[in-house]
Amino acid sequence: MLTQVAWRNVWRSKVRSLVVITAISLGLIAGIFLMSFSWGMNTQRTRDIIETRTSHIQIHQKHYKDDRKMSLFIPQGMKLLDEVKTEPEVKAATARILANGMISNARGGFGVQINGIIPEEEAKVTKLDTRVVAGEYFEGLKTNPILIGDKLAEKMGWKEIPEPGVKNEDGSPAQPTYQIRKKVVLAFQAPGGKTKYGSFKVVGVYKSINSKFDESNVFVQFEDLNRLTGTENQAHEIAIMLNDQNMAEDSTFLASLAAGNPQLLVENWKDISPDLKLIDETFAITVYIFMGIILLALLFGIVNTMLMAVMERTKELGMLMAIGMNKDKIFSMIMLETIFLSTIGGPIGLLLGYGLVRLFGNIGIDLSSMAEAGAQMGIGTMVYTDLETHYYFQIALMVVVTALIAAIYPAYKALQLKPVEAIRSI
Amino acid sequence: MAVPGYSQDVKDIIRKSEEIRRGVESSEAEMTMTIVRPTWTRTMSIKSWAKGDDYALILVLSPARDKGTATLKRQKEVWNWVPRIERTIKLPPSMMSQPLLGSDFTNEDLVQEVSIIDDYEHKLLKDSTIQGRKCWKIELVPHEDVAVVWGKIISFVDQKDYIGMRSEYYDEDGYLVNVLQVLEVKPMGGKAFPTKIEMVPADEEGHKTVMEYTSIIFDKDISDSFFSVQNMKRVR
Repeated sequence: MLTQVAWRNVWRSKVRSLVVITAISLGLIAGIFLMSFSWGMNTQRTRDIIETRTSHIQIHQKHYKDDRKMSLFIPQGMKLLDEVKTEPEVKAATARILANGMISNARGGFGVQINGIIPEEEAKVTKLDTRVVAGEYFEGLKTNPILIGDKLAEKMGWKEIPEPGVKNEDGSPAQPTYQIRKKVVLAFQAPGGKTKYGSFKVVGVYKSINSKFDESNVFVQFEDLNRLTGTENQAHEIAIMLNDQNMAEDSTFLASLAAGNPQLLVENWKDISPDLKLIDETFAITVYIFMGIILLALLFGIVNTMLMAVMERTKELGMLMAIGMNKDKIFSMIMLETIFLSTIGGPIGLLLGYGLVRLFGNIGIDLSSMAEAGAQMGIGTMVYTDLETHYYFQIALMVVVTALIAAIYPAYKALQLKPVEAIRSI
Repeated sequence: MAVPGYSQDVKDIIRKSEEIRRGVESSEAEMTMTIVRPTWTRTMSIKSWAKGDDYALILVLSPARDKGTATLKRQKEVWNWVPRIERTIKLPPSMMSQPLLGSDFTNEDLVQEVSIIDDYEHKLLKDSTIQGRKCWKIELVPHEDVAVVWGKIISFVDQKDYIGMRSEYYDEDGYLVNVLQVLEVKPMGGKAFPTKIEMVPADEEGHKTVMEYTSIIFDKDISDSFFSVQNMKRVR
């Protein structure tokens, strides 16, 4: 009975009700879209960092990370790598030898981390080969090839950026060109403190989404760096990609590996990159703050409209009270009206929001106008919106709760009416 | 000039010039270093000791702000002492290409890793004259796998005293990067000596560094222990 009255009341003033419904749906759409944008950007960033840098698991000598001393090799590293590779959980694994040093050409010298990698294995773990933008991925040069980053190539004077607006013959914007097959000199301190120098030739240029990384990392072959160091088959780092990312935190194999080798440091991607975790959490907090602001605006919108609905119907409410409708029922009626409004607005907003997320999840949002800033933070130029299902319900619930809270004041206002005065009012 | 032994002759010239440059057992010198920049000029006075090819110590005497700053070379290592912060730094490879005392020279110029005789291909070009001295003009191209950033060096060696009068450093593409040039040769310390040298980076207009010797004593008896990290802090 009361439900019917409330339902009819909703549709007696269509415009007013539609305003509330629209406000609720818009709030939902905005909330869902904002969340999916951050979520999409974040998962993409996390995935990028795992796939290109940290991998799921890294193994080092226990004290290597303290001061990155070159002498702290993984004991029997190559044997360990072979063992790791046979595990069914492991998708791919590779070993690296690392050195901090300097790369120089006639233009000057730049501090870099020199990564000695096994090219075929590295391609499986970090897909480094897919990021080569000029030259080849360790092909075509017999001795001492080196792969340098785009930003470093620029600093060394080997990148030519076309004038803005210059087009190719087919109308696409002209891409930067690079000079390769150039000679560089690497210098680093080998174990024992001796400075070693080596002459390398640029085989290719890579570009990742993180320009800071490109500036400070160069890749050479595992054997070449070992030979220059005066070692054989020594590694500082073993990087592992698993079949399932969730396994990184609770793999029995890794637990046994860590327990069986106390001289090793076995870390998953969250340990390796605590900044990733931090940014993850910061993003979440920011999203909730924005959600809060949107909901607050929505709250005032609903309060305003519902208050209007009550004030417009003063006479009618007075009449209802006069013929014996009690206060509980009046209160419930107004609350019910709000619930109806939000249960209509909710699904519309959810549906439209979902559509929008799917749409931009496919075509992506182009951020290339701020690519430079994005690259410094390690964010790609395209953001694909994405949101896990439970967030939709979370947002829907938040909006409905907001609507209910918003209805309390107008309903309370209605209770304050005195039947006799209310009937006489115009 | 006969063709057989032709390249040997060039090598001999380089070798002899190298011997002249560092041939003395030891030396103690005082000089002024003027760093010229488009908007300012700075002059430092410096004292230096060297022994053979392995040891060198450079001490700043003035201006007062930098007084006592010392750079020590021991074999392939370079150390820095900065009295203002009371710190000794062993230069890591990443700092080797940093300017030496803010000049156009680099720390790397102190430590020559590669041999100018064995690691380069030499070719004699036609004679030319620098500062009124007849010079051999020699092209030096580093061997493929040698850790040198230069594409080639053109060196001018004085035919009378075997003084390296001018060196032009080119990058791989043949662009001139630096020029090291002797501006004045005078008798000093008992022989003809390049007393004024300038280093000019080619692509930076208005930049150069001029070194002018005010005195030099050759074959002074200096022990190896003089070139120690401890002594670097004490030396006056």
